[in-house]
Amino acid sequence: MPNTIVQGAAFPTFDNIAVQTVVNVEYHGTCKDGTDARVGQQDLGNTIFGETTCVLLNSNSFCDRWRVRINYSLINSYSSTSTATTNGVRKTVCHEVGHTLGLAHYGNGDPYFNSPDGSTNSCMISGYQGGGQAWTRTYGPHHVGHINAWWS
Amino acid sequence: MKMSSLNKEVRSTRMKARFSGLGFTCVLGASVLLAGCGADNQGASPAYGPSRSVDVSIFDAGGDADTVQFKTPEDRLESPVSPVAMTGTIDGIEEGPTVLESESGLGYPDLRERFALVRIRIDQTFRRGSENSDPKYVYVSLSRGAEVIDKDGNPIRPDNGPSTIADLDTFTNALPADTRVVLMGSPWTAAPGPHVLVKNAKPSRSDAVVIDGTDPQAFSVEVKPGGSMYGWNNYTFAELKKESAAALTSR
Repeated sequence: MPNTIVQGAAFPTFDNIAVQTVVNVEYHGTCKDGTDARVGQQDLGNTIFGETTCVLLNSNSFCDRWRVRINYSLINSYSSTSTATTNGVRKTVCHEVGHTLGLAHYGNGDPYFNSPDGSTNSCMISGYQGGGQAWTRTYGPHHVGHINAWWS
Repeated sequence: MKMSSLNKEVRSTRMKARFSGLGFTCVLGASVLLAGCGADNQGASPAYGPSRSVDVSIFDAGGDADTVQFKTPEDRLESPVSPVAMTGTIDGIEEGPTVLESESGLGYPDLRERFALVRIRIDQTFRRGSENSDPKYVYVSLSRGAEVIDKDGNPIRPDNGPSTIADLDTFTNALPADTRVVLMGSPWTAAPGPHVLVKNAKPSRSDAVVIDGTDPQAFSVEVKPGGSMYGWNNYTFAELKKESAAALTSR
């Protein structure tokens, strides 16, 4: 079940990237040319919602392969309903995959403020899961601008 | 903190620019991947502390993590996430554990993550974690990064690309001796999985507790003497220590 939920959150996250940004998205069973991101579920302890690590650099020092790990158990423990769990997983996948696109997060030490989009949050906020609002599964204009500049 | 984020964005820009027009491949894993200090801060020119500031970019060596963030030390210490709570100073860096994973299901470990151990000289103990642990030292485990390896254990680096593993000297330079720290964490264990193998590098103080430092609120460092704490941006070392002590004595 947990893996199905993480997988179920990953597809719309990548589909959204294709809609919101200029980045091309393809799905493969094994790593291919281009930047690969493998999304999986793993128990990362009792305070880490998700984690993204570059595991392979090419000769120009750009990341060629990312490991994305989603801590379903922790997200579920913070959720009172299955819908809330699904929303939390979706937010975390959006957040972690955002790192693979080059984004930094915001909110460390001040989790409810300092969005680069002013009063509007995006899934790149750290330490706050939200409640399933649209911003929990999308990137804000500030971050979309960065992504499109970097990937065009 | 803002400067740190800015630096990260600039670095990421450089990393990503080369991927223009290339496809973005998503592979979905269907299963589990698998005291040297004296008095507290009293003024602008404290007569204690390290010879240089902490380079907080070292905390990105293992990647980015989205963590639970507690608003106050009291909130964190009331939760079950911090069986160990201490203050201390950085004493040195040692080799840490190595974790091997079979991320791709190839039948052999194809991913290797290395860790550094930050040796902390304990100043004040709020929660010891284990009564049998070393009362003078504790360790913090920090990821040095992860790398793809072949079935013989050799790193795979296309076109001789750079390593994704930070060396121990980088940690020594980034985390100066005598830097003050506050620990509010839990013992380190490798993320579990059916294809996970841990090779432990024993700390020099073999009876010392090893804390997971991935969460910045678990391993908070004083970036420069008298300044704010990394992980608890709204607190100085003295404030964080005071509130932690008060939270535990009031319970």
